[in-house]
Amino acid sequence: MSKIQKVWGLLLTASLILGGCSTGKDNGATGEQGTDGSGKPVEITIYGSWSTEQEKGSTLKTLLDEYSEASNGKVKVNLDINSEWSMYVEKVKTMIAANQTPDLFSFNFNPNDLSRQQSGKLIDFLPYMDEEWKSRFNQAELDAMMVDGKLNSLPFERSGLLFYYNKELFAKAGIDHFPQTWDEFFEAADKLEAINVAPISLMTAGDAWHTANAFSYLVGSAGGPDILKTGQSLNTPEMVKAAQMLRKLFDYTTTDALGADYSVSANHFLLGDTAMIVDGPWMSGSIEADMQDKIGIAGGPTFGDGKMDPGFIVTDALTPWAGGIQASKEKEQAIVDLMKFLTSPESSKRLFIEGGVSLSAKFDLTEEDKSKINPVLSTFTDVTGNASQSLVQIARVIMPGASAEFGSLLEALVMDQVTPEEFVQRLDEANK
Amino acid sequence: MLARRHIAIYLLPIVAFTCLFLVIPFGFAIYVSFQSWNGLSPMEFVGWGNYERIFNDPVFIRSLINTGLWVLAAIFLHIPLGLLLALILSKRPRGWKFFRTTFFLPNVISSTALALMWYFIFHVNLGLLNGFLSTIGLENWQRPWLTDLQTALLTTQLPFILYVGVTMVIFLMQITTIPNDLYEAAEIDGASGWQKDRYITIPLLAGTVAVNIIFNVTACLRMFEYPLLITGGGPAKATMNISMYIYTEMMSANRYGVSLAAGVLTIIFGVVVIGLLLKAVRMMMGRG
Repeated sequence: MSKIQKVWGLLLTASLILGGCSTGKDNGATGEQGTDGSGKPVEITIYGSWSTEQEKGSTLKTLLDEYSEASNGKVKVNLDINSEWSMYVEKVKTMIAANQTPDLFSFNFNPNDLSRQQSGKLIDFLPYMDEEWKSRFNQAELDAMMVDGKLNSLPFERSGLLFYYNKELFAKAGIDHFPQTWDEFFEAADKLEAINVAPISLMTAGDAWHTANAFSYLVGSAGGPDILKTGQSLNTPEMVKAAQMLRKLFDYTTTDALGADYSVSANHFLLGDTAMIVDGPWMSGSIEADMQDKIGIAGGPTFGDGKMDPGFIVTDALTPWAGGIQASKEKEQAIVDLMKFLTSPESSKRLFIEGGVSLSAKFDLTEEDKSKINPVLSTFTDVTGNASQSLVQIARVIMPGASAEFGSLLEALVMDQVTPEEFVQRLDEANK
Repeated sequence: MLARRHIAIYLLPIVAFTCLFLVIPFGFAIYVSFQSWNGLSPMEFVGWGNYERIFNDPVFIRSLINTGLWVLAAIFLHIPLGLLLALILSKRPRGWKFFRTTFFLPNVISSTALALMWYFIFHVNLGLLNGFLSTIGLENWQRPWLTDLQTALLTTQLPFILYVGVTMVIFLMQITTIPNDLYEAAEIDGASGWQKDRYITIPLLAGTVAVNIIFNVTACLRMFEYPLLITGGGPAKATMNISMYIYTEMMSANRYGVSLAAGVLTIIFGVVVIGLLLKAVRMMMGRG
């Protein structure tokens, strides 16, 4: 790292502290709180995005508390949460730039953005990766995490992003199955509108999550599983077709979709205002018990042209966990031990069953375990497992600049300020 | 000699802090504005590339125009409103202390809380405004205030325009220093209340107007919370201002060089605007 960058990092650190933007806790990057003879516990602070108000966050918190307790005062794990994902991602990058890398954090793996892994500020887990630990992971996923010969991050969370649909509203509208093609989809949407139900939850604020998921289905349907492969232009007729359909999709959503954020969009579905939403398995934990049997799960419709198999799925990027390099070897070892604990079959099983988190680490489920799973999550897992084709959600594979532009371009498309052709062209330009 | 040394000692802390937290960071901002940098990877010198990019970026131009509209809102709406309230309250009508406190109250409330409150006033479905319009039978007037291009910018500016507490108090303080003799003499000459304001109070407030312009214009140049929390800069970046542009370029797009180039331009823009405004005020006061 150049001197200029070091000084810049120092200044950025000062500004973070002065601006009150810091977490208010010792991020421990310097390892000052190690057990170097002081008798104090090693403090590890996980900078996380899972709210403890939701199942996955509360399950993680329980696991961490149990871990701290079982260490007999040797390790204390703190959880610092920022549940607004786009803000979280930005903050992590700033913390790394300011030499305040969190002890542990998560991020979306993007082959077009390896800046975190190449920052030189992350723990290399490779020297700690014994055969037993290695065997818990899918080798291909471990290989994907290797950057410049280092294992700077560990595969942790992976999940499909599927259509949740309200079977009761479908039945009321006279729809007896989830649409297999986009033509069927829009026919169903017309029927839902006829009974005054907004067909699908969409949003444009932040990372426009639910819309980006739906758009990814349209993109996959139009161009097949390889359409978003690294290095390819986004300015293609298939992308234009997907953008045209996306514009049409906004004629079938709620009046507040323009400018809506995740919670607005999700709540519309959870309250039965909309009939469909595209989201990850975590949403199953937010569905009230009396509503669970009304919810169906499905993969995506196709254009019926054979480019994608019916029921194909869009997946979220791998969400690996990484840790900041520590000055104290004891603390680094404590972080590795914690990751071994969190990726153990027992922890993974609990995170899946109790938290609804779909994990990379392997684990087996007994019949008794299966009976404890939320039925929506169980269906979600089955649909994901049965899908013959998939592609990764678009925002996870485009450059950060394009990702940052997506929401506003989307709003311009919805307000007819840009045509679908211009939408795709400008997204492609931002992706360079 | 001793006095000079004392002055130097007194100045030392502030000079040191200014250098540490203003001059040096500004120097680095200028340096980084000529680099391509995502905050994590090594920097790469790009010359004037970031500046060229900014001037060819319609979003920056929109942000610049919007910032100008904020400045105009401060000068032609916020400050006159503050002056009007100060003139009314200076006459100490019944309950003036209550109103003075009430008008000042929003200035001690977190701007985040205020922004969220306005978000829920203007929200298309949950908003009080559309609910009110519906109640009084004006459904036709309902609209998505936050995402309508005609109204979105105004929704972000309205809290700033209306919360005039500080501006009002500054005017009030100055009004209390105006000698009463002037008003008594005017009364003997048969001047009305309006004439006293027009020919005595307002002319003697010219210096305070200048102070309020500087305070409010600089606040507008730095304005961030209201557009961020009320519209998020949308729809389609229609309510972005320079502060938001700097923020999104750095934090969302990870283009630190572009962001800081915009920051440098903002400082230049701010200095020019303040300079022109001060010159205009001086001319108005007959000193130009």
